[in-house]
Amino acid sequence: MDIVEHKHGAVTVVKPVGPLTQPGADEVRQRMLEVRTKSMGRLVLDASGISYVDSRGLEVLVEVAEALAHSGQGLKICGANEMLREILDLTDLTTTFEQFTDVNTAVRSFL
Amino acid sequence: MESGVPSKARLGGRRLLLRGESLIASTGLILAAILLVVMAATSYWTSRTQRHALEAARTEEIRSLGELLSDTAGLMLSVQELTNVRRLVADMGRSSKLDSCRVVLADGRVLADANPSGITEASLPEAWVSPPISSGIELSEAGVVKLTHPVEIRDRGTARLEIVAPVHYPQRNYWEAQIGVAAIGAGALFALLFMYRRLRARFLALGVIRDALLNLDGSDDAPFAPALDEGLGREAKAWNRLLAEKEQLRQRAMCTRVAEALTTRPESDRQLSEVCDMMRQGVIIIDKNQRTTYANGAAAVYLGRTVDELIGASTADLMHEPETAASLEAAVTQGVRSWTCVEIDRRGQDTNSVLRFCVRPLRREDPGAAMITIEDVTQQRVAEEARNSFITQVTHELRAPLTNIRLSAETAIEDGEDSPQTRAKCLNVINQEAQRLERVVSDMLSVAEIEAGTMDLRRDDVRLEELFERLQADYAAQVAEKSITLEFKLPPKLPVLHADREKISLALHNLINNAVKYTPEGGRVAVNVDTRADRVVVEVTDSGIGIAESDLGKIFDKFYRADDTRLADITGSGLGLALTQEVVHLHGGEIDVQSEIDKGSTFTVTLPITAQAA
Repeated sequence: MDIVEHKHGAVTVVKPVGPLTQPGADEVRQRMLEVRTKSMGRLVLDASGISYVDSRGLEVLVEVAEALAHSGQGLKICGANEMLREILDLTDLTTTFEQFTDVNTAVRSFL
Repeated sequence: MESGVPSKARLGGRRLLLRGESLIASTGLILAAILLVVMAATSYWTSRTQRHALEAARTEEIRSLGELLSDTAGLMLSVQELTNVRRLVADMGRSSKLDSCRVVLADGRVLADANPSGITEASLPEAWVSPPISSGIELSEAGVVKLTHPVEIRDRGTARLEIVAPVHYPQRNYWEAQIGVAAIGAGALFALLFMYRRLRARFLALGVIRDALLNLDGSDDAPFAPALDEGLGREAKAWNRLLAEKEQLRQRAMCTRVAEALTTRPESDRQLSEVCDMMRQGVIIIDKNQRTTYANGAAAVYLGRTVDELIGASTADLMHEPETAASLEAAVTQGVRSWTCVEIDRRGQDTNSVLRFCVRPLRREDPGAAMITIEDVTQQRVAEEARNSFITQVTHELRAPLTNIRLSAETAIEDGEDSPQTRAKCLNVINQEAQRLERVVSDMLSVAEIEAGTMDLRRDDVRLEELFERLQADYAAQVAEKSITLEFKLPPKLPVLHADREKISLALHNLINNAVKYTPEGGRVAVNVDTRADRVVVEVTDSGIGIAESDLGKIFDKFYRADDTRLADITGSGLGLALTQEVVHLHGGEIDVQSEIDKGSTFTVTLPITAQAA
């Protein structure tokens, strides 16, 4: 799957494009963990390009959130569409992530 | 059972009354006194009973003797055997140990007496008159029995037998009895003492047990009674067994508490560690040798190592920059209990970050030990720099039109009266620059609205033909000045948008203004408007300098200006595209950009005709 990465100031925004499912989900996980190390956790997941999420995709999101939680950080997700928000709600994972409406708001939360 | 040792020692000491013995001894003394009183009472009662028995026996003896003697004397006197009667009385008086024994006539003459000298009548009278004589016997308190009994003498009269006899108390028997009672009492006392000596140890044990039970307050931690020497008897053994069980229970409870403490303490440490790991700030504890003893998860991330790698590492290793490491080390060694902070800019390195290290010594008694916090302030610094850049840009943006206005006004004042053309030209410049100023100020206000989240739309019918005509007019002078071709390609009929006229106008202004600004002289700017289904698509294409691919994702950020040397002479606040994107999104539309360096850019705005709210 396509993973677009760009920087907003000191914050790296990772934007996967396409369905977050196996095997693309593992690629996203790998990329996000690399970005997390490089940017010391200044990371935002732009979910506006994610059209669908399966169980593996959810696992990846939780794993990245857990990895960030070990250093007192949270996974900031922005631009989640209605489908993703509903899935997170149904799986009781809404509170696992910090959610923002757009990239700018998410980036501003690092200030 | 250490507490039992001193008491055991005391048990073998020379104290007159030992622990618990006072009660037993006093009880023993009371018992002994009671025993003595009982013995004395018994002795008294025995002697009294014996005395009464003796008196009763003597009285009965005298009564029998009197009756026998009176009958015998009466019969013998009836046949005038006075001499024999006198012998009999004398014999009786002697043999029966009588004080007095005599036969007395009614007139008091003594006919016979145990003591011959007491006889006052030598012969038996023939007859005499005598009052009736009753028989009687009495016992005086002095222990003397007095008997009076009539002696009937046939054909002569009645005489009177008088006997006075002492009661003989056998003194020997009395003292024997007293000695016997005393001996029995003494024996009982000795037996009591012997038993006491035998039971003394057990009494002691019971005394100790009693004291312990009275002092028992029920708490597990209270000091309990000492153990007893098992030679003190079965009670001591039972007591020791009880103590052993109690001690066992106490130790078991203590073990449980210790086990709970041992299991709870790591739990609290673990919780504390988890809490520290939740902190966004990195936390490091260093010892007096400047080596890390603790690091949380954030510290590991900020320093690019694992927590295990950090433990034991020196501060010099953690901070590569020698100056900062030295200043932190100085703060630690000086021991001033305040925070000393150093900011380390590592941008351009692997981590590309700005870290703020703050150090504070921990304890006065532990010099060298300190706590270091690490904070990632990269984004704050970037934002700060962006704001500074923005202020510079805005200052320039404001100053340039103001300068133009001032110069034009001066020219108009100086030369305007003589040359109407010059005056008109100056007023035109002033008008354009004022509009430019208005746009800059409007942009800044809009940015403030976006930042505060208060930007809203005042929807109205927007006739696009009018809007584009106005835009064309606004930029006519500017494009003419730069010899740029500005072309509007509009369809024959444009729809009416339900949108915020001012905001849409602002967005399109920004796009066209950018296109004109970044297009060199002689270039071309085209505004193509098309209607696709329920959307209006506006494309602003220029033949300008283009945008590098690496900057494409950032150009809609606020205050962002591409780091491009070609922009050195082109001013801008870095707000235009951010505002445009915000306005388009608020109208439910989208904005996209395609660009190629040195060839130009195309910004595409798609707006819904029905203008659904975003």
